[in-house]
Order: sequence, then C-alpha cells, then structure tokens
Amino acid sequence: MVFNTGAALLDAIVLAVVSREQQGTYGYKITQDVRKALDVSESTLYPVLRRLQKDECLEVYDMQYDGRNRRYYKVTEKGMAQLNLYRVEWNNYSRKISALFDGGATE
Amino acid sequence: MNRLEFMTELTALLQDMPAEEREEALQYYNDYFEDAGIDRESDVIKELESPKKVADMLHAGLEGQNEENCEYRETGYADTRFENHDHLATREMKKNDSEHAYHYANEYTEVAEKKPWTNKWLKIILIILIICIGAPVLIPLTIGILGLIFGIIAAVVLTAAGILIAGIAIAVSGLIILIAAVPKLFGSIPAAFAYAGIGFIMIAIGAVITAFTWWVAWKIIPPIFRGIVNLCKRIFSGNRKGAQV
Repeated sequence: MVFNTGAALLDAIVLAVVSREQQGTYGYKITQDVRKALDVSESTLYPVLRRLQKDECLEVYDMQYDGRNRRYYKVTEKGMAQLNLYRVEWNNYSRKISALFDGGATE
Repeated sequence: MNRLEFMTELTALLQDMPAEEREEALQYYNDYFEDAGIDRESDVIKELESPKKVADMLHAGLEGQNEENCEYRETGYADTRFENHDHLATREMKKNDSEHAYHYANEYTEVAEKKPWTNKWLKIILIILIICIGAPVLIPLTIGILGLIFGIIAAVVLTAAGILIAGIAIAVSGLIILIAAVPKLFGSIPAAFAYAGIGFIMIAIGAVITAFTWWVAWKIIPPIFRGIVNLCKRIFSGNRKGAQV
C-alpha cells in the first residue's frame, strides 16, 4: 500500500475486526485478521488495543484455553458507537476520493 | 534469541512501568507467542525486532502520544519515532528516543511516589475517627491509670516519710529522756543512769532507723521514678510508632 494513514483508521479497523466476533477474540487472531487488509507488524497492535481498552471502546476478559488463560477482547457499546462514527466518516471520505478519482467532483 | 530470552529481556525493560501496565503487556505478548505456536516463534521474534523496540513503543504508547507519530506505509503500520532506517537522521532520532524514554521513566516514578500521599491522609482521617470513637473509653482509662501511678508513688514516698519521722521521733524522745535524767542525778543515781541508758538506746535506735530509711529512700525512690518515666516514654513512643505505620 502506498498511502500513509493515521491511527484513527487503524482504530476503526481493529474495532471492526473485533466486532465481528460475538464472543470476543484474542490478540493473535486480531493481528492476523487486520493483516488481511493491512500489512501491520506483529508488535504494533498491542498499544492500539490497550488504548481502545482505556477509552472503554473494548473490554477484556480471560478465558481458559488449552490449559492457560487467554485474554479476549470484546467491543463495548461505546466502541460500537465509535465504530459507527468511523464507518460514516469513512464512507463520506472514500466516496469523495473515489468520485475525484473516477471523473470530477460531484459536490 | 528465543521466546524465553525475548520475554525475559522485555520483562526487565518494563520494570519502570506501573505494575498493572506491565502485567497487561506481558500477558499480551505471552498470549501472542502461545497462539502463534512454536512454528511461528522465530517469525514473530523477527517481526517484533527486539525487546528494546517493543519496550520503547509501550512506554510511548502509555503516554497516549502515538497518534501524531504513527502511520501506515507501503511497508505497513509504523511508529515514526521507533523506526530503524539506514538513514542519516537515524542517530538524531535515536537520541530523541532515549530522551523521550528517560522523560517518561521520570514521570512514572513521580506518579508512583505520589500514591502513598493519599494513603497518608486516609490514615490521618482514620486515626481521628478512632480517637473520636475511642475517646469516651480512653480518657477515663488514662485518668484511672494516672491516678493509680500517682497513688503508688504517694504510698511509697509517704511510707518512707512515716518511717523516717518515726525514727526521728524515737531519737528525739531518747534525747528528752536523756535530758530528763540530768535532774535525777541529784536524787537517785541509779534511776538517773537508767534514764540516761534508755535515752542513749532510744537515740541510737532512732538514728539507725532515720539513717536506714534515708538511705533506702535515696536508693529506691529514684529508680522507681525512673522506671515510671521510662514506662510512660515507651507507651507514648509506642503510640507514635503505631500512628506512623
């Protein structure tokens, strides 16, 4: 990808990925899912997850898996509201950019 | 470097973080290694680059300053402050990084040091509460104990004084009998000698009692006082220690 993007879009993508799992999902899987869209490195998602958790967009819980505690992330109501906001913003933004690319501004 | 070495070094580098943040981060990376599996262990380590880089990123991430510095490149998401370019500016950037890290570390210790301050106030409030609740019991009890101590001191001192006065009285009566013996010299000489003898014996007994009591009082009373003072000191200093814990 040739475009550089700020943290807001990464927040949005992480929220979207986590929100797809009703029961919540865990760090490694989130990274692998985000990587389907973006080439993020293994280490970089933790600060994002931690920040979203502190902003109460994500909640965490531990669950037994394979004889150990695995930390799961789940989107909160506030997180869903934030994700919807991002979704609307992204639609507006991408529509305008696409319109510009595909032949003249429409507005 | 294997997973164990990586996690050990990372743990060491996160020592200056608040315990909760450290635990969270270590749990995340532990989970990450577990879920990646042994097959991908070396890939993960290669991508994480080094414990130092992860630790720097975590330190900066905690400050919430990632947003202005991170972005996507064609190579993926990156934090501009923690990149390793083979670039002329690399040295300058590294210098800034370590300054940042130092700065953050300082702020953390400040936060950690401030915490007990609130506890201290809580303790003071608690002590005031205890005093308010305990006062109806403590004040009469203190007065009672002081009364008891005063009573014991008075008893010892007055007993000593009594014996002393008795001794002096015996000696004085002996002296009076001796004086009374002088006129008898002109009547019955044996009676005069008997009077004088009794007088001398009484003076001797009185003097012995007075001297002995005086000596005992000097030997015994000061240590008793010293003992009481020490006891009081221990009670009060003990109380003060209790308040500081």
